[in-house]
Amino acid sequence: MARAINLSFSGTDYSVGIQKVDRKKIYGYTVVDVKDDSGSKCGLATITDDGKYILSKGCVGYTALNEKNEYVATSSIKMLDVDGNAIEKIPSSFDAEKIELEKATLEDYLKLHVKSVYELNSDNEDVDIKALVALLKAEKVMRFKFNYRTDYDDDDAFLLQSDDTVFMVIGSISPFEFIGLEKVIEEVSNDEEYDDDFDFGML
Amino acid sequence: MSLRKIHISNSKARNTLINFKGFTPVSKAVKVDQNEKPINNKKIIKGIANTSFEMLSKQYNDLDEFAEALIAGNPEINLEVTGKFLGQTPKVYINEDLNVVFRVNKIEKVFNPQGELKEERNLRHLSANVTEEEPLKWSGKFFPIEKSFNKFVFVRTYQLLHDSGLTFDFLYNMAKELEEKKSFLLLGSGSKGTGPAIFQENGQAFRIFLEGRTQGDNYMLLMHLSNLEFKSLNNE
Repeated sequence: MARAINLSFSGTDYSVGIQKVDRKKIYGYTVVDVKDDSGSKCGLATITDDGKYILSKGCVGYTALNEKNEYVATSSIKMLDVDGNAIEKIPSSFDAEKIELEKATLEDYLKLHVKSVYELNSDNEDVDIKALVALLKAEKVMRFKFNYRTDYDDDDAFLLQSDDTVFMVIGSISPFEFIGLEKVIEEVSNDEEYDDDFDFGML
Repeated sequence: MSLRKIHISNSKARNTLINFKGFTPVSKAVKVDQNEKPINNKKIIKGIANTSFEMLSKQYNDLDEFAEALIAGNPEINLEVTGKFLGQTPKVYINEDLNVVFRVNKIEKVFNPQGELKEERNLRHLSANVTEEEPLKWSGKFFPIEKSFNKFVFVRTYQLLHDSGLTFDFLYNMAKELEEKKSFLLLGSGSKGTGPAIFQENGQAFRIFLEGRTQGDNYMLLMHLSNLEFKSLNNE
């Protein structure tokens, strides 16, 4: 088992590893092969505004600029919270001695903006996974704060079981609210894009 | 920009265009410079295709000769564009010789979960179907929430929103009906409402599960999109 997360609930500990659920491994996947008339493999590239230069993979990067459009060295970049206060990094969940599970509601789980899904495993399946399955059959969903690697943002993680397998679904709970007739619906910008990581059996 | 729209019908086959919105998480941390002023990331050109490692290395007999050339003359830098900011970024197809190609042939290769090639076929075109003349239909297929929340992964969840008294009644009643049934409803394309929903041209196909909640005269109608089931990776 790779790195473990140490979970706990009501005095019972569970040491579990996680394996990302990759849609491709369940349903398979498709790849689009692009060739020119001579059979040469083709790929997408960017061209500059003036059309003079082709920018293939690796030709474009990002640089940090201040308000005066001056270059800012990575070493001098600081992180603050939205109120301008110093902010600390949140340690990785794999480094925590013990993470306490909390009871959760389906209402909260169903508002989750899902980022990733993991299957839990353990070197002691009988002890850890079966015990978690029993707990989740009773409670339906449990939650905790999860952070894969040490950084400034952590995620909401929900545990549930399906056919005696324990899954961890991570993301952020969407701030959806009940609305009434008088609620003014504000126009919002639509920056969301679909990512194409999944391919649900519609092959 | 406007809210996104979806054309749906209810259990009485009444249909209308409805707004919906999602949620994009924002980081708690903001990057600032040493004066605590915000900084922005901008795209810049690092090099061009002709001066990339792949192309340049072909000009030399071996890597040692290539390394000597890099030290001596900086052939990897194009002084005209390196460091320039990038604005609009139109895309083109290029072949292995870095020539722009104006006519391409696309074949779709289908692989099984083990990575084995199953089929090669002409690229399929998937048309968007959520704002067509024909609405996504109330299928009448209900999935009790307590039995199905752990069957489907809801990879996206959106809230449906009214923009008039009529659409308020339309959505409120849907939410009420679903809340009373304590179930998700499958909403979909096709005559039976069981087909997939495709939100953009050649986009992914999803199953839509509607969930309704009410609180007095207020409602919350959520549209859960799924293209993944909770299945163990270790089952054969």
